[in-house]
Amino acid sequence: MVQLSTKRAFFLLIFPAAFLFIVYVIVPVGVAFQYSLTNYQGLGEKVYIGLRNYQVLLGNRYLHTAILNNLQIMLFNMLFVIPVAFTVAMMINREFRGTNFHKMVFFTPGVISGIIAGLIWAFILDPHIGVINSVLRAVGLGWFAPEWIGGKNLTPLSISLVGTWQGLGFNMLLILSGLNMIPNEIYEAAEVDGASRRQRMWLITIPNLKETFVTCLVLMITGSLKTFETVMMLTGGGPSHVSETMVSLMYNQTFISHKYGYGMAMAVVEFAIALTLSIIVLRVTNKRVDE
Amino acid sequence: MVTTREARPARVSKPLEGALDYFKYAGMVLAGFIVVFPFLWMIVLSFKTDVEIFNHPLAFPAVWNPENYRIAFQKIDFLLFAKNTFIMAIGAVSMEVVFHFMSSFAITRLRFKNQRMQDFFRIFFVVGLLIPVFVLLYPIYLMSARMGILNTHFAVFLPYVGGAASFNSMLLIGAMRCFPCELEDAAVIDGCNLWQLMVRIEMPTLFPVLATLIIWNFLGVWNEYPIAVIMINKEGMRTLSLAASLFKSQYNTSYAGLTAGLVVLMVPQLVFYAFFQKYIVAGMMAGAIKG
Repeated sequence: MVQLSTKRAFFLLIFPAAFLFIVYVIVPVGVAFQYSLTNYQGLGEKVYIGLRNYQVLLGNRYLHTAILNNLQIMLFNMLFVIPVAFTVAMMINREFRGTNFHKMVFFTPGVISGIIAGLIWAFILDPHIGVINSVLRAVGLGWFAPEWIGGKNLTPLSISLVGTWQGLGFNMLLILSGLNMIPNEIYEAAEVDGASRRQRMWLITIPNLKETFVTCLVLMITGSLKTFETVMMLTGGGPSHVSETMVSLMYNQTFISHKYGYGMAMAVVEFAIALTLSIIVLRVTNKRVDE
Repeated sequence: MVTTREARPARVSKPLEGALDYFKYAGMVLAGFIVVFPFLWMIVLSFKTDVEIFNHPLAFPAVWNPENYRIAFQKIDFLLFAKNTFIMAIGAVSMEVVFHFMSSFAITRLRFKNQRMQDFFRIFFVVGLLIPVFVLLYPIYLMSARMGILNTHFAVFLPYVGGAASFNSMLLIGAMRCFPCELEDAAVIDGCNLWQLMVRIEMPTLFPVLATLIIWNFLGVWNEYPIAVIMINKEGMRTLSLAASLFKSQYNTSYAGLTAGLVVLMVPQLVFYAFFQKYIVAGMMAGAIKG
């Protein structure tokens, strides 16, 4: 093996993957940054205007709304996904007849595209013909029936409902494999010591799943910041940009309004936010996991 | 992760004992129903008329009329869009299997005195997981426009190959690390060259991982939206995801027609999932490790 390991072989083997990776991932990051310093609008030459795009961005109301929406989506996702996935995992953990079938069922929504998921849920959440509000009206709660989508406030909540639906199976599987790694002896010892079911759950199961929960959390945070397809299908960012997310706003600025320079400045800022947040979460949680 | 799930001995399903078990079982079935409900609801809606959807949103269709499906097939060229999607998926996945296998092999299996080069490329590829696709969209669009390949299959699937290097490297490097050195050395002594070593010895042994990689990336291309939407604006080149995203404007007021179109798009994908769910789940779990 050692005699076959030449530098030439190494570079030949790595070249095709590295070439495409550089062309389509590394170089574009640089290009995005370069264009963020221009006022390019698709026609004529690009003119470098320094950091003016970033200055304008700071005062952009829509961007503030979008960031707040993303934070709300993230918060709701945290509140919904992990508790729901944990509950389902606890129900399914005992291997009854049919648990494998149910595992498959819970995972189904994660297989379809965000576009289709968004379109499907438009029929559940629609304020007029949607299932939820129709049921509310049928049971005499019509006065309550809120504007789940297209209103002023609730769209982030609705987006994270769709996200919970799509992400439930995945998080459940993570938690199940975390449960499998807890040694049975701990439970047996606890039972001998007379621990109740509830004590076993709070004092053994949940603390032992800490690392799994952290993984779920990190993936959820990075995922929430990328929300795009669902919001495009549910509201398109409207009405008048109140339900935009960071990515949908950037997409609209860049590809619909053709403000390429400005759009790229937005992309760079969003990338910086996403990167900072991921690194903070990894740092903070790593510390906790180590303790 | 891929292997641990499969290595676990199959557990025998236990009978239900006591009230708590029945409670859990009922909870599992109920939760499963809630998860599949949106799919079932689309099927119900797709047989209703628009008037029924607006006036009696919760009722079953008076007549189960397949008219909406006839219109859907007339309006939308599903076969053409499926063909486009599959050409892109097959193009992307076949390049990924070859290129990423080669690069991961070079990173893990070649033996040098100094491992710095291999470590560098391992980190180089995996860092890509932190770069969200939306930063890359416009630069990739710009490059493709300059190359004159907009509206071609290449323009869509080459970026997939570039971007997938991160996830695939992680998956393959993890699996290849476990490959026994003795087997390699024996093959080399018997006169294997590098190419034969990869194709005849490692590829067959790593088949389960490669299967996960293939199915997982195939599904990824099937669902991908952001890159497809900026590269394609000709109807004849659309993918299935793009077709779905245009349903809203195409059907503008015909909700019934839209739901029929959605069902037509969903069913093949759900069948695909049912066939390959083992590999899809394994990929999901491997993906989780990146967190």
